[in-house]
Amino acid sequence: MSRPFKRKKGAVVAKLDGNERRVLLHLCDEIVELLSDDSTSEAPQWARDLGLAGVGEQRETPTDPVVARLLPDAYEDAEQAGEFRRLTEAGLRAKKLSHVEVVRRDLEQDPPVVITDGVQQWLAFLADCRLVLGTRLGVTEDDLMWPGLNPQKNLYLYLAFLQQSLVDVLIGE
Amino acid sequence: MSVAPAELESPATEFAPATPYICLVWNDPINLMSYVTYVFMQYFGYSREKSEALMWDVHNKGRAVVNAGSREEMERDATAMHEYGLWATVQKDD
Repeated sequence: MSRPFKRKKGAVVAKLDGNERRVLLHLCDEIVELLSDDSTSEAPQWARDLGLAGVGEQRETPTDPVVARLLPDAYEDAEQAGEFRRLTEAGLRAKKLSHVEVVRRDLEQDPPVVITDGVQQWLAFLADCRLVLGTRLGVTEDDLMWPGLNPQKNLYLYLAFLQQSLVDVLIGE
Repeated sequence: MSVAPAELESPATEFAPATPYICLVWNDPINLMSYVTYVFMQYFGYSREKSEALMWDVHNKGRAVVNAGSREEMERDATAMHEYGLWATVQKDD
């Protein structure tokens, strides 16, 4: 397989075929669904986009382990973690959702996908997708991950390949 | 004359903490080693050598102290790590 990401004249170009773009767009939808905050659906869109809706509301660690991995506790102490979450979780959700929108915008342009100013957002998005799939698959350090019959596992491995390719471009290898 | 708005609460309200805080990054089986290294280089501006050493600490010891400073600064760092999908926590440097 050739490298999906390459640097061309200052921009990073992603060579992704139609199926690859469709899979990534599907993951965009999935992350949006996981991170959309039902408790702030009454708030105006601008406030939600800026992560200002729901700030200051009491929040527990998310019960879904996948969401809890995307929005982890910042303190080991439960009380401090809750206090920090109360003030910052809405902002973190909004930030991650803004990454998705950058990726979606890039994927919806005609190929090849040219990433001009959203490389960090792409990286963070790919990392979040891997966290979602890896947490669902219950990946451990000792897992020997090879492509097989499980489509989720194959997608997880494909995302590692994409992420590695992008990191290689950015580190300059 | 309008009344000044009440100040928003911030996560860190202590003034000039006597005890510095630290930001820890925890090992996880999902994030790629090269990605973790890159995030340390990009966000903290650490050299590749230092970033790789920290990444190996995370991998081998389960966690590593990636920065020290005020509580506010460490909370900012932990949030940035969470934005990148790394798991970080803040604690007092006892």
